[in-house]
Amino acid sequence: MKVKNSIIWRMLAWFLLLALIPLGAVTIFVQRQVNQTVLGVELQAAIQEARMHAAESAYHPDAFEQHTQIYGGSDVSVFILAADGKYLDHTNPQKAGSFAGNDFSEEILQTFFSGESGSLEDADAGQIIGYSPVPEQNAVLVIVKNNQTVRNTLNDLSRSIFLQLSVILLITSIVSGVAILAVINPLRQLATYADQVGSGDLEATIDTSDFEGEIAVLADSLTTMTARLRDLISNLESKVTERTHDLAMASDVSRQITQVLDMDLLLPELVETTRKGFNLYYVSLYLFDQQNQDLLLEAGSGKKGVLTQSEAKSFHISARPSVVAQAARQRKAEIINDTENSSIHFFDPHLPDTQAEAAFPMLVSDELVGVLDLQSATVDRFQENDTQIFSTLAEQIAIAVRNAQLYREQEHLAQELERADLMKSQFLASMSHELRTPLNAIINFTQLIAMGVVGPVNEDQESMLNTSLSSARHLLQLINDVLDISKIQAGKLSLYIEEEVDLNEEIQAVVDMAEPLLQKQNAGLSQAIQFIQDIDEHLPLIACDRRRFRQVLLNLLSNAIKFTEQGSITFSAKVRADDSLFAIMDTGPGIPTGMLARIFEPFIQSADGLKQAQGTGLGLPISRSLIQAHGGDLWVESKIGEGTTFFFSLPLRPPPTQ
Amino acid sequence: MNKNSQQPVLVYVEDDEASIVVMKAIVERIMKLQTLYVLQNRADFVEQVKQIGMMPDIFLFDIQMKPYDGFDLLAMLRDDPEFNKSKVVALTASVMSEEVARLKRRGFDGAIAKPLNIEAFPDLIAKIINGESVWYIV
Repeated sequence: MKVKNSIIWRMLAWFLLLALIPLGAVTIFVQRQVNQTVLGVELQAAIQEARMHAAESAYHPDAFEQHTQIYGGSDVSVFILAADGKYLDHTNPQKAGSFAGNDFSEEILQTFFSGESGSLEDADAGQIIGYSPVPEQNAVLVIVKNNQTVRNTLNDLSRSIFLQLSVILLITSIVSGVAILAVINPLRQLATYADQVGSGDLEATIDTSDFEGEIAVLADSLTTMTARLRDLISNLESKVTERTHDLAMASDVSRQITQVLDMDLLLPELVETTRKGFNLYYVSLYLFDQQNQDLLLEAGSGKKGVLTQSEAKSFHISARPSVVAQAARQRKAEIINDTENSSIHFFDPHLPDTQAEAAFPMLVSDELVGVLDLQSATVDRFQENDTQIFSTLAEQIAIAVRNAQLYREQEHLAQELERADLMKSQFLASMSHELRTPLNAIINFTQLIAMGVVGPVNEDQESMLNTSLSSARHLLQLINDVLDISKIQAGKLSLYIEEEVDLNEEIQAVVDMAEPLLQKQNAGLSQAIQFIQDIDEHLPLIACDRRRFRQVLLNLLSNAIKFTEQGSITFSAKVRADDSLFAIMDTGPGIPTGMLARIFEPFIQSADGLKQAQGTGLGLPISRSLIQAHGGDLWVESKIGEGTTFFFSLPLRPPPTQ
Repeated sequence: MNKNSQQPVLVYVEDDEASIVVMKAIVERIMKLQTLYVLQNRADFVEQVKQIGMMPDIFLFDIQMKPYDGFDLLAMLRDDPEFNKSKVVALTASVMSEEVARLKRRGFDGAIAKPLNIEAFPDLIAKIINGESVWYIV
């Protein structure tokens, strides 16, 4: 630990600099205080000693002898001083009889003879002097102690104390320094470590074996904390990843289910995708049969699904134990995270590894559509977050299933309609055959009889037969018109287009057919209707359905004849740039404005038309449809009292898609 | 097979009795022909034709029949090389335009609408025998 050592020495240097100066000051101060105190004590002791020895000397003749013995060899001298300034006795026998004025100053000598006991310090001589008058004698006992000794002792003591203190301080500081370093350095390491962690480096490590005691505990907690933080964050990340995956999965499934409308395709794929996507053991989907209150297994994932489904699994909503039925009953998710210890879970021998089961009701606006059942081979598989996702998923599936059901219903309905339509077509085709066959026979027989082929007929008979023939033909026309209109309404009208149809030829043929009708109409009128033709001589050769062209033209001409009782009928045909324009103008009663649009609706006729009870009311709608199928148009202009004009245009060629 | 030089031979197949009576009246009483052969729409149709012993000048087939309709009979006839050039005319009550297209496509030589126009019918037959194409369907 190089770092540690260098710090120790630096610390030590600082310590010596900063700690020893006050230590010295303290030592000097203490020494002074001690000196003062010791001096006081010495002085007091000197008084006491002087008094004691003075008393002894007064009352005990041998006392001084003993003093001499006691103090002999020491640096303490005791003497008795007479009032004349001579030594009466002295522990140093050589001094006896000599004048004290040689040894002490006049001032001090006078103090001795103040008549009181006392003590003084002769700092210059380094002496503590105690004195006391000897009772009953005009003498003073003085005890002189060499204070230097005490001083020295004291100084020694001070030095010793200073030294010891220094040593103690030094040791203490080294120990504490080391101790501090032992704390600070690890703390510093810990701080650096905490900094790293704080700045987000959760991979930072620290060797906790470098630490001891509390620091080790601290380091331990810190590393534990970091580890937990790391776990938490990585856990968070993995949780987020997991959640993102789940959501993506759910969204995938949702997308998939909203795209497929065919339930038979949708559901098996759905359960498989869900199983794989969420890593489950088994996923199945039950649909709720509202009528029987049964839950029917509609799809199951994998082989188990096929296996279970082959048994046509279905049970009543009241079934127990069943997580699925429970969820269906309560209309809320039922989650069993430990199926072994559940009374609700129903053990399925096909699914031996199930450890957890969660059933989510599939609801569309509170209506139960079915149940999504998830099984996992892991205990505690279904947690709060999963529940939300699966619930949403179940909702999505519910909507998809409902859509598919509606689609299926619609499809069924469409099929029904198609079937009905087919039946109608078949009926019409059959009707056309079954009705027309006998009608054809009636017409031909009547014709034959009227012609006199089977025997002579008189005029009356011929007239009646012709009326009968006319009615039969009308009936046939009606049948044909009904067939036409039903084809038009079914959008199944098709044209038989021939090339280069000579319109002039076709017009002539129709005019020839209309002629007898006009003659018949004129027969009942006082003044014959004028039939005016204004037809371009060279109408173009066009591509069209010849029969249909004739049908339209005949229909319009016969209408005009039928409704006109005076005046004229003008038939014009004109070549235009892109088409030919035909107009059939009459001077009939005219059509009320309100009726103009309605005459092209099937089974509508003008009041007059109805009165005459001729025609089927289908001619105009059929004609318009036929012309429109050719890419042309048919319209009417009319004025009450003045007459009516029907126009139609016919292009050179019908549009390709007809 | 002998070619009849006197009267044209007509073969008619129809499953409606009344229609047969009408056809007989027209051919025998108006056209004054004794050579109308009404045959059955059976699988042995071609055999029936051969049993006539004369080459028919014209075949008139009703279209909507059971069990064999006019198209089936046409196919049977055309399968036999002896008759693959015979003139075959459809008699149809159908007003459907596509029916006409179908008749042409399937190889009929002409068509005459039902109910028959009795006055026009003899001329139509004459035209067909003369090799004209007749589609009398209005």
